[in-house]
Amino acid sequence: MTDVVLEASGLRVYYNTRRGPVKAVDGISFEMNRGETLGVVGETGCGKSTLGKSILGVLPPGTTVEGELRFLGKDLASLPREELRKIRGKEIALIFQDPMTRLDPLFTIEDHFVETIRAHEDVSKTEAIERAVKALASMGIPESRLKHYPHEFSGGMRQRIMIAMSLVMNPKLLIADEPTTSLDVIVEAQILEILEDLRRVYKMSLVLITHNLGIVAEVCDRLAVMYAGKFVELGGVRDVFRTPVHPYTQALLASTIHLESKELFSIDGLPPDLVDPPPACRFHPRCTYAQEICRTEEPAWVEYRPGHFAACHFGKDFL
Amino acid sequence: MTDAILEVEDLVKHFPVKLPGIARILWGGDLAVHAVDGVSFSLRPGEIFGLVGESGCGKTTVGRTVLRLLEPTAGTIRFEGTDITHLKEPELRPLRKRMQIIFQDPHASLNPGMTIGQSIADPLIIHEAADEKEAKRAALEIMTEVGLSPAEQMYRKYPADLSGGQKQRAVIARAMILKPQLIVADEPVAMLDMSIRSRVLELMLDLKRRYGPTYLFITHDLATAKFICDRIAIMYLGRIVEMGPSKAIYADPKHPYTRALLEAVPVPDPTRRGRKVLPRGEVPDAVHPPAGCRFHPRCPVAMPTCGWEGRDFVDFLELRWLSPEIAAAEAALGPVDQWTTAGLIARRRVRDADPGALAGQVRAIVANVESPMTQAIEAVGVEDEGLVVRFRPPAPLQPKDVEGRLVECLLY
Amino acid sequence: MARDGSLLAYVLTRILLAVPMLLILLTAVFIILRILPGDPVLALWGGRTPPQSAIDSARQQLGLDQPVIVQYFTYLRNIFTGNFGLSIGELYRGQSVWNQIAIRFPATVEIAIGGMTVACLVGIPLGVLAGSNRDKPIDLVVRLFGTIIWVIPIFWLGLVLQLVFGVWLQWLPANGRWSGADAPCAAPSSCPFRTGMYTVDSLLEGNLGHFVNAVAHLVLPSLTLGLVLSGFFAKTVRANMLRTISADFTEAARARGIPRRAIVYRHAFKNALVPVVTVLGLQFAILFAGAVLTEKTFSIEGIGILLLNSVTSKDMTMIQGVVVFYATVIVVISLVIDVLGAMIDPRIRL
Repeated sequence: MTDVVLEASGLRVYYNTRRGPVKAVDGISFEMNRGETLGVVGETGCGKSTLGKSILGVLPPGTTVEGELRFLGKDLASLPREELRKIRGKEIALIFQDPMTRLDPLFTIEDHFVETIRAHEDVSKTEAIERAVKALASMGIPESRLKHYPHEFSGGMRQRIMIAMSLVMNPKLLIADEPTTSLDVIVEAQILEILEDLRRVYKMSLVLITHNLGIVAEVCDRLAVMYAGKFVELGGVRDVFRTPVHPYTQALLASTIHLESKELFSIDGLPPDLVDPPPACRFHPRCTYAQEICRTEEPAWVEYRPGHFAACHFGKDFL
Repeated sequence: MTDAILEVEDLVKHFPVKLPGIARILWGGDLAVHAVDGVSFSLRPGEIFGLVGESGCGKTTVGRTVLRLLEPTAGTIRFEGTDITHLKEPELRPLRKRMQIIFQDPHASLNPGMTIGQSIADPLIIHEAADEKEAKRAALEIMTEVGLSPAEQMYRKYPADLSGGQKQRAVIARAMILKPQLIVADEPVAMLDMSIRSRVLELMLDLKRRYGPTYLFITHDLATAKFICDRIAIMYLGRIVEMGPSKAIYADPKHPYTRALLEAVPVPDPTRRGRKVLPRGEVPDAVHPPAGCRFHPRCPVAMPTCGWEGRDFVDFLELRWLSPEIAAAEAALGPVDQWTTAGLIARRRVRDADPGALAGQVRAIVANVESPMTQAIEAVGVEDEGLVVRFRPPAPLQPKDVEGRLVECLLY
Repeated sequence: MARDGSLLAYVLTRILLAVPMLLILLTAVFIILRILPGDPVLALWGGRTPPQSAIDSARQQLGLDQPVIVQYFTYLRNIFTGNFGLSIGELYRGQSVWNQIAIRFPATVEIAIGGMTVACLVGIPLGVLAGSNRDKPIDLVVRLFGTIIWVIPIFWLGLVLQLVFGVWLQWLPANGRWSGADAPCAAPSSCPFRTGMYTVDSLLEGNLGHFVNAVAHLVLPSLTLGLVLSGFFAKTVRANMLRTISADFTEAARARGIPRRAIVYRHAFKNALVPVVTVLGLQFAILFAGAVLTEKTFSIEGIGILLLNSVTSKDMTMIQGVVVFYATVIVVISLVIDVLGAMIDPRIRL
């Protein structure tokens, strides 16, 4: 019995467009353990949301997916469609950035719950409703609101409904894609505490996709930094925050404005176009330390400390 | 105080809730969103004044109303000593040159059919401050200053060719070209990625050093406000709850809401994790703001005098009945939608039970639960065959001077 | 707020709002008919110049000698008491306008409903199929069908159907509404009341043979009208399906493991229906004005033919009657569309 819940190796996701394939995820490998929270951090368009969706297999039709994704030892790519559907929502759940648009406006909250539960288990409607009531109550939403429609709830409540709905099947892995980005800071903190509790109580594994390093510092065990479709650094949160190895991680940490910021720092240049990314190290056009080798040779994925990896030719200089 | 660039006194802005004519007659009365409900502040020349708060607190409405992009419902707005509250548009026009706005969404702020250069030069031409040739020269000059270079080349580009950060620079250039006295910047960096936010903020600071405009900086991000603002006002549901020098407020916040906000901001340091004390729930509906201090239903240090009213009692029952056991034991009092509230009173009509017995049950609950809400209850009784819970009126609330800043809280 | 009553409250509000809407429409009809060129009184004489005394008496009879404001209130009073006056055209002179409408409207209703049924039964499933299988062969076939059927002239399609099914195969009657002598409910004693719609009347009689007779006559005109419309319906449904099937909430439903069938039919289709109901409903309303070409092709005496005839003969009272009647129908149908929309979409309710 292994404790590895999810294992990705050499994962590639290409969106086929008229301009050519957009290499949103381009060769990513990692493992996730039971009860662990992994933060995936990156800027807009780095492919972090695509990574989340690819784990569930909810990418748009015509997308190319290569590499291996193993969930509890099962190769997700080789599963028949119906098997995969049964895993979605039951074993692996996904919550999204914008809770405003993720619930069907024409159905009540009760309808959403009953549909979800009965898509996975052969239970009566009454039983499904009972379970919905319990899950909602645990999120502080009273039973009297079961028959309400999504537009009658605030953003924070909708996100709690989404969490309750993914919780009701007791999944082993929860993927949260910017779950608090559209929420105000107090509600954001409330939702983060809920996610934290879930992991503690249910031993759920959590992939938290975000652009906010503050959130990662507060709730994650490990952190993966993503740039232009690749992981550039992966390690324990304390390690990465204390001694970031990759120059992009360093720059990202420095540019985050927080309550104790002493100066403003920004990264020159723009993130690359993923149809035609720069060769070798993709960060080299914006990197202050870039040398000739960064333009010609792809940096290796090196373990600098136990469990702390990075892909930079000069990684050891920053230790 | 007359040297203030902008003085706002008791500003009120209500948005009527759109009901079709007949619905209004059927349901009676007009509803209004109390977006801004009595806000006063003044901007000193050359300072950066931050309006900080969560979405729906009214900060954006304040920004637009002081520029008269929205009509104020009540109050006075003085710009450079002139009362502009009721000025007509032709009289306002010459003043508009001296006050500009930067919007949150740079993608929507630029006309996609105009080149960047045309957009930036446009205010000069509209205000007849320059002919086309001069306008172009001025535009090229400001473009270089905001970092849109090579300016000659960028002048001919269209917004679609620019990145988000570049567009926001163009928007700033367009606002700056008239060398305005006042710039209202409404969440100017909220839509930008972390790695380029700093650059836009630096640009704004740089332009301030050079031309000395006064900024009204509207943001939900406390960290950005701390970095850039000289003074800040924290808004909650249409009111300013705390206002003063940024340094003082960040070092020692006085209002419980300011404390809650600062507590909630995530800290990018994994060694300093800890359980947070957070206010319950979310910002209530601005159509019916709470009585007394608007923050009282969520406040961790609320007192019996803070403004408790009928619906707080009903909310209390609703939360209490999330537990199935308690809900079953108190089923005779429920369900929640049998309760109606009006101001200080919560009422439940009783048809087939003894109201006296129910009143006894409510009294027992109130006696057993010690909270500022239950302590604010004046009486539980029976009136017209109905069960009535009546609250004491709240204590009057006024902004007070506390250690160099204004705080609107009964604690002080 | 009162949640359970919200749909009812919406319906009541909407009905109350329909009253001013109807008044505005009726006023517009009044104004337009009075500023239109061509003197209806002169038209009575079919181009010849009548003696002045005859003109004066005709004007008096029609109330045209009164001040406009008096005319307006007389007009409104007549409408609300169901008095549409007598025809002044050559074709129907002296006949009651209301009677003419009452005789012809049932025929129009029958082919409108028949055509609408065919259009929905063919167009909506095709649209759903195409929309949920974007760019696959079935989608291309449906798009091609939609384009071709929409550009085919309606009378040509009608003639082809008449030729094939009515003349060659002789499966169905090629025109008219009825074969044989007595229409259903011809004898007043045989039915409790009469609707003028032969399908309904024959059922009221309890005469199955009559019912088959009436339906057989409806098949070809309904097919003609319905097929042409089905292309448009399929395209409308497809476009809306494309939007809803890639919506955020459908992606979220996939992530929750909802089966594809339920995603397409419960979520994507129901959401696509909201705008579709409005578009299709308006199309239905247009059919009530009479599908002139279909009526002509199949020799059915419906409202369309009546309006056409009265326009060509400058029959002002008849035109006014038909237009007023039609305005009322439009108001009622748009009311029904809005209520249907509110039933599907809770956000439309108050």
